[in-house]
Amino acid sequence: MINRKPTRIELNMEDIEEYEDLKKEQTEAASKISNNNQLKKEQFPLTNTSNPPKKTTAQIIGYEK
Amino acid sequence: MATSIFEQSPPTLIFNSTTIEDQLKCKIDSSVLTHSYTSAIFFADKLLNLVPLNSKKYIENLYILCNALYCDKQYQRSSFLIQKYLNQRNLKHQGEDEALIILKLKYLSAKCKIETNEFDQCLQILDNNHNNTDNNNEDGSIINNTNNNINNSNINDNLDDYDDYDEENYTGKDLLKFYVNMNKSNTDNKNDENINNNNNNSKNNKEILIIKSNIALIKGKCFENMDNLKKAKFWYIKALLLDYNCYEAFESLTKSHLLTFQEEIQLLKKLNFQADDIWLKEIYALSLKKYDNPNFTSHYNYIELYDNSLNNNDNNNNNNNSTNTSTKTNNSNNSLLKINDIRNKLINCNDILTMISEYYFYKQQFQESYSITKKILKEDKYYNNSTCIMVLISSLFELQLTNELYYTCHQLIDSFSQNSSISWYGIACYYQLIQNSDLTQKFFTKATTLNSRIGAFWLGFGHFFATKGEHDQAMAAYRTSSRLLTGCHLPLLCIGMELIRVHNLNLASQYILQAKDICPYDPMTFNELGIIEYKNSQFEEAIKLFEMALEISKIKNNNNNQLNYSFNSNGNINNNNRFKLNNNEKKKSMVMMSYMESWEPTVYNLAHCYRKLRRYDLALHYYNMSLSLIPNNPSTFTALGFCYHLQGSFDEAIDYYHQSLSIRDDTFTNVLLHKALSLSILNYD
Repeated sequence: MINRKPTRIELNMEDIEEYEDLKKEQTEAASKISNNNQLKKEQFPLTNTSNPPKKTTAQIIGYEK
Repeated sequence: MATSIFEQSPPTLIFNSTTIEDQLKCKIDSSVLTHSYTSAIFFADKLLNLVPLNSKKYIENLYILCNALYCDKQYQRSSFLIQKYLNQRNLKHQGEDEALIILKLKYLSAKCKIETNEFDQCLQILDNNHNNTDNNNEDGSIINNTNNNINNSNINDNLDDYDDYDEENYTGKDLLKFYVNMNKSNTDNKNDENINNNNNNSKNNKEILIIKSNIALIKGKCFENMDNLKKAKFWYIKALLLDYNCYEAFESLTKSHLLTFQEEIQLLKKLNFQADDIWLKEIYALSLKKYDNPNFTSHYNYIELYDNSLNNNDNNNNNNNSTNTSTKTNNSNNSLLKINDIRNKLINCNDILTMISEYYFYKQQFQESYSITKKILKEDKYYNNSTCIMVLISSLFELQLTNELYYTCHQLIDSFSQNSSISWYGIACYYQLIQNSDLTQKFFTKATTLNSRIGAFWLGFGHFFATKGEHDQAMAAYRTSSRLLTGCHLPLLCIGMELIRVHNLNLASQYILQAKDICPYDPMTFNELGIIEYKNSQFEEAIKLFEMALEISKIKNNNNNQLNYSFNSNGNINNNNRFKLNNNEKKKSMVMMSYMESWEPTVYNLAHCYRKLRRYDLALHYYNMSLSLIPNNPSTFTALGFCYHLQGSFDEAIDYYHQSLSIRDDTFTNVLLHKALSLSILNYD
């Protein structure tokens, strides 16, 4: 008789909650410790949600680095 | 005056009736031997009319006639003549010899009824305690049971002890216990009889036992055809306990998976094989379910022998020749054979090779099972062993050899046009493989319509509905399969898997635990139990179950291939010996790798559990292992990326997301990629 394959757990949109939960935890933990940004970045990589600095027009067109 | 072409026999010529009868019997035997059944019937009819009605000789000659009719496929006539005689005759006063021949007549009549698919009437003929006195059947075929009470306890005992069997008190598991008790009491009775009879008529007793065994077999067949599998199981077991040589009963029990593995082992232990028949016991053991039970290894003798023969062939060394030479020398010296010699001779039998191929199939070594069954059917094109054909079709399906499957099915249709349900099943498998849903459904329907009593068809049909996401229809097919394959855990496991899909975890757990009770050696059962624990957020428990599944599959590999593959503490496959393997081992390692591939989902699930527990290193490890088992799987790339993402390694995550999206575009990966990209940019500032 032909076999049925074992059930394989596939990732789906609900699993993003795992990411959001971790991020939330890291954000809360990060807010409690010192203002050392470098330390925060290393320990809580998901916490840095600030917007990236906007590039100037000169930088966008490659005139400036 | 016109002369007659015949010489006129003188009226005074005297014949010896015994001589004529003997001559006629010789003619009948000779005709039957040469398959000239019409001649046999002609002479048997004359023989019957030469002896007086109701004499012992008349019954014997009636049996000869009816037997010739049976051989000539005149089943209705044969049965009618027997029933007509039995109805007319008063059977109350008869000797033991007469009782035996009447039992044989009833058996023959029942065989005829089986051939004409009249199962009710067949049972009625065999049922001595039936109180139906209504004889006025149109064809006179219903026997008057009040007249048929053969007053010979030796013949009558135990033929109807299903009446003693209380279905409510004895569940399937207790069936053999019932026999243990019953046989004890019978043994006591028989001992008393033996003292009285002083070993008289031992030949007759043996014959009676064989007929009784065959009668039990016929009853089993009737009940199986009437879909009463519990009673069928009862009578098959009884047939075997009466005479373990009744292979047909054994085959019916094992082929249809009527007994669980434990029951099969129990039954085999209960059959008192004589020392001369140990080889038969080994073959019986080989045909049981192919699970790896450490306490039951009788079937490994043939498997090891087959493995060794493969080694010898592949290495092309002289060991094989020397062994053969020594065997030949032994044979030439005397006619005594060692058990190994018998095995060496019997291993080339088609049915033993089929059992070995079945073993490899259940061990997921599909290439091996395919090559064995292909070889069998090449040598013996019309070999109509359904197990052999089923293993061939299933192996082709698992190996995804679509063209070969297509060609094989066409050949099967040509070869077995009369009993082609299995061929249509193969065609359904082919269409499932090429993902043609309409035709798959059409041919599964055709196969199950032609023969609705083969559980494997319904199981395949269930798999088809499951892949289509038709939950209700899949469940219905699996339930039918479960009803037919009472001793097999797979339908219950598949029902459990379907219930997991619809998130009915409690019920799923019950079904899967039931499956585990029947077969505690299947890694898939542990995988599914792990899934339930995972969905209940019990990740530690899930890890244990997934690891258990992998452990069992590892044991299986080591048992079969005797290669030193194992998982190390980090979850790596230890395959350091790989480069030291000879050609045969390399071939086997390929088999092993294809085997491992089937457990990729378990490795992947295990990785998920470690990710959920935030043990990302281990999770990454198992994801990588999963990727090495099935490369270029987009979902594994996404999972790897997700794991790196959660760890904060955004560049690696982005790489894997891109790899995944290059194979398959999906929303989940796109969302994660977007998030990872934004975080990655921040890190580079």
